[in-house]
Amino acid sequence: MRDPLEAAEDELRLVLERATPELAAPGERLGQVRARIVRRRRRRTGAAVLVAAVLAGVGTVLPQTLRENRPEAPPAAPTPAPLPTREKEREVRFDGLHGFTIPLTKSWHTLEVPAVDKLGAVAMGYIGTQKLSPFERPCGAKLVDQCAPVDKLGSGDVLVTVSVGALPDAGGWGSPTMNPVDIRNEFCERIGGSEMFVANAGFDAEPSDLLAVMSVCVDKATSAKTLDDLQELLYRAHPGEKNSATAPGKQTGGTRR
Amino acid sequence: MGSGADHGDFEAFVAARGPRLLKVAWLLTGDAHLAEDLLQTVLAKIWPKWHKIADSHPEAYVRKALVHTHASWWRRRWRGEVPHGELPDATASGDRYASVDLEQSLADAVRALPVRQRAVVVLRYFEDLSVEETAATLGCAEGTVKSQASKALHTLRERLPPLTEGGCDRYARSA
Repeated sequence: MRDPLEAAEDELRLVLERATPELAAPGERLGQVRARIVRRRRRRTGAAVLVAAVLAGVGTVLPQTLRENRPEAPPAAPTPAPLPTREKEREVRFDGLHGFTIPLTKSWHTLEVPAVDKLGAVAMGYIGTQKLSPFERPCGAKLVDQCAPVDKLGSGDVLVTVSVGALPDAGGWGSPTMNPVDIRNEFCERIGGSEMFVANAGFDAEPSDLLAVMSVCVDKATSAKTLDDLQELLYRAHPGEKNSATAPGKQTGGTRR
Repeated sequence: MGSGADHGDFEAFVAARGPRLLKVAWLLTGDAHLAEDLLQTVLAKIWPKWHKIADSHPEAYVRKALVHTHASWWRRRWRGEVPHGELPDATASGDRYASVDLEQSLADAVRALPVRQRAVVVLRYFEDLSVEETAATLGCAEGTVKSQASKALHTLRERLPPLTEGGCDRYARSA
């Protein structure tokens, strides 16, 4: 004889299938979805500016949750991954930044600087339109996180500073949209930048969500196209595979994807 | 946002799987308008991440997002339960009346379930996920899924005529 529980479950399956109505999708569903995304980003602009204010020192006041124990190691160039998602693009993965990965064209340069625990300095990633030079910390700057991989921004150049840390419930929070920072920023001024933007993005991750903070220092001659291109790349940044970035025995350069 | 190709994939996914996902949303909310609202909310959330999930199991990801977003609405009481607005068409046939009756009964019955039990019912009995898959989607123990399913089944048997009056064949829709 048939198990009564199984019979009831089958009946329920049948009822659900038959009684759930066929609902018509609105003709402009995707348009409405796009509008929601725009509204969401606008709502978060306020929050992003607040974060920008907190992080105006570019890493000088990163919350403790972003500081992690990382082995001290010499600066290393992030590993270019051999899986280009578009023509003339490569994905660059910052292993020391929880595998933060961003697609870049050849014109962009990258540098990863590991954390220095005894100085309380977190690992930093740099993305720039000019050549970036490795440096040791401390570097002579007033604050350890004001060390920069360039002496001066070139005309039309951009330097992005990236830090990534574990932050509970950060998933889905924030927006990679670059928002201008109106307050004075010593780091950006020091390298001759005239304007600064901050973007941040929360990612779902295990064991904790991640928050990426991307500070963009630009020269006054930087073109709108360069900023548009950068914005597009920031939208496509994401944390790498959770196992590959921190797996024991991996080199500082990390795992190729 | 992603590339044009990414958008194309996303749009194709929504076109192909949207109707089914909307049904899942309807079962979670018990209301057509809330279901569309829930689905659009989730689609807006996943769009920026589409390039990461497109190659894995996007439907599972969206399904999970539907369940958790609905649960968060529930927790925050952003959404009040609203009566079902759809009335039988005046010229509906007897079969149509029957199906609207059943639809209304189902909407009422799922709204009577606690939010976790609703999710279990939708995942286990509508999406036909295993106990293990349901537990993974909800982030709970398999034993919890079984107990929630049992309680939900008990409640639904009391509220849904087909489960109490000798089967649902009499509600079968005409072809």
